[in-house]
Amino acid sequence: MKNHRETSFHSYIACRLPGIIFLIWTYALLWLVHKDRYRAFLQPVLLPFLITGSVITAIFCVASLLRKPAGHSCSCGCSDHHSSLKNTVIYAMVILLPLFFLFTVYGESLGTFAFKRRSYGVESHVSGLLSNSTDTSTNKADASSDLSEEPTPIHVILSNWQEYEGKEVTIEGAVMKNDLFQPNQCLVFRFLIQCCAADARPIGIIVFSDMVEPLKNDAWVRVTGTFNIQHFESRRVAAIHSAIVEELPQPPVEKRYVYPF
Amino acid sequence: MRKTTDCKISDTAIQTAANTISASKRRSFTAGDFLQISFVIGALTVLAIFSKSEQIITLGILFVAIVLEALPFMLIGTLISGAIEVFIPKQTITKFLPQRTWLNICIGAGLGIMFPVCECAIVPIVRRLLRKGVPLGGAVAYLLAGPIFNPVVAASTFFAYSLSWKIMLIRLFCGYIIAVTAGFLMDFFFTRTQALLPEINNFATDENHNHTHQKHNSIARRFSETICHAADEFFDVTRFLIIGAFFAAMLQTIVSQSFFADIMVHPMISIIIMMILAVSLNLCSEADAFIAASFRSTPVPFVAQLAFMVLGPMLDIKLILMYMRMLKLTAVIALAATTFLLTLGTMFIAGIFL
Repeated sequence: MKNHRETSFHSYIACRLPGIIFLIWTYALLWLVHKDRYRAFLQPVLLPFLITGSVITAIFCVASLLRKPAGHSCSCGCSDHHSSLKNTVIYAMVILLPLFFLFTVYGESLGTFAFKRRSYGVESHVSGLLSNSTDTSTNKADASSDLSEEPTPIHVILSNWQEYEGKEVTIEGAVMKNDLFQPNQCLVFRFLIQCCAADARPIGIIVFSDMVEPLKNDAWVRVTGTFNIQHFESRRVAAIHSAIVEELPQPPVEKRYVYPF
Repeated sequence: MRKTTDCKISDTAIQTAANTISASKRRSFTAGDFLQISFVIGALTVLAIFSKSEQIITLGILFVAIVLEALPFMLIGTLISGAIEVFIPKQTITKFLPQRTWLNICIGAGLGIMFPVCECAIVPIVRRLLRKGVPLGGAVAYLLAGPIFNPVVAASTFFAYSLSWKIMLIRLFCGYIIAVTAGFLMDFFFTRTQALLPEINNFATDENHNHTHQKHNSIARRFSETICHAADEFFDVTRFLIIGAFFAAMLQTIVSQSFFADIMVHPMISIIIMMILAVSLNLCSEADAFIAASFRSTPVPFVAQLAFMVLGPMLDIKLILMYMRMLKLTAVIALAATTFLLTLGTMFIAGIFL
């Protein structure tokens, strides 16, 4: 009798636990959609998919909470989809793992550590990646309209560098310094996300100014100066000269990356 | 008469014994269970202790990003899978499938044009199709070609390579050829019993299950069953996506990509390195063309970029783990090795012409 009650209890928990997990995931997905928090991980184009995902997990949640435990006859008469309590608990642990990471790292973004890991070769550490920038050709910009104080996204400048050459531009980004730079030089960079942070690619412009000397890696700055293409370490790179550099507080994490479309 | 009764009793006893063994197997802890528990505890411990370190923050961001990107597609894939289970009887699939193996495989590899799904969504769909009795070769061909040979991936390749029709068509063609060849090889060397996990293969021969769904005429009830099946499928397969995503993020955090760039001195080495990168980065097939295109300013030759775009959607860490939810280990190893070697061979030939 006791055994039967225990089995029923186990079946009940094994049956309801997936519903609770789906409920938690629904909440997490809606939390990400709210205030554009998902932009810390994903490209905005994926928003409709994220919303669709939250709707599906909500439906799964309701279905899992309403279904009958394994001890009862199943609506479709099959038993293949009823897992044991042990399996359900293990699956639930694994499925919840990303959420622990999500709520722990949210607010942080990829920085100079990731920059160094994600650059292909020493040269690209200091490059504006001019030849690569053609794949962001969808970002057509009117250089004349960008001469104001309003910062122009780095990828837009790099995609249309001919239009900006010799003109004054304002950019915002994080600072990266390494052994290749003189004290009055640094790279101001952003991560360009095509799909998700796993494919984030650093793009940057070298800044020449005495004002960069006290800056540390990952400091967030606004730079205004004359944009040029020049040779640096035997490679053509994008650069800003005679720059006025202003240190800023880090923007919210949703605004630290750039997206090509 | 007595003999028949004895026989019935004996059958019942065997069935009960089998159920008991199966139930006790489900209750007892296996090596896989311990590995999964250790994985979760290990990951949480590292997160708790080093949550402020740059490495763990980078790892966490990449891990969450890969999971979030794949999750909606997995959910859609499992919904389609549930709908196939409930609404398409096995007999219908068998009736419409071509009888000839070669035709089956060739059509399977081209199905992505009509049903464009990415590599995360395709696994639960193929798993369900296999359970419905679709031949191994055709299923493998669809599994491998589906995430490449489809209009969405074609468009992303077209835009990533500065509106190049040629590169787009080369990618699609290579993906199709490799998938068809892999389908033939898997079909030739493996039977369904040898390749598929028992629960997938036995399910395909279980006529009762299909009949049970047909009994219900109420559309509402069939929708509810679709959702139940989809939820179960998701719960079962997603953990492999998560484990794979974690290891991919870990690899991206530990290994510097410039390390690969530094050793890409020979075209053949470049191809192999780019193939290893494709397997380890776990990128979505709809985004990987942009990453491949970013190598244009490096010494990496085009054929190596092509290898990256062709292999990635067919084989990566999370996919290998997800394949293990439908194929036996030997079949997964054979499929992974076949896909890798076929891609290498195709790129070698492509390198001569390109």
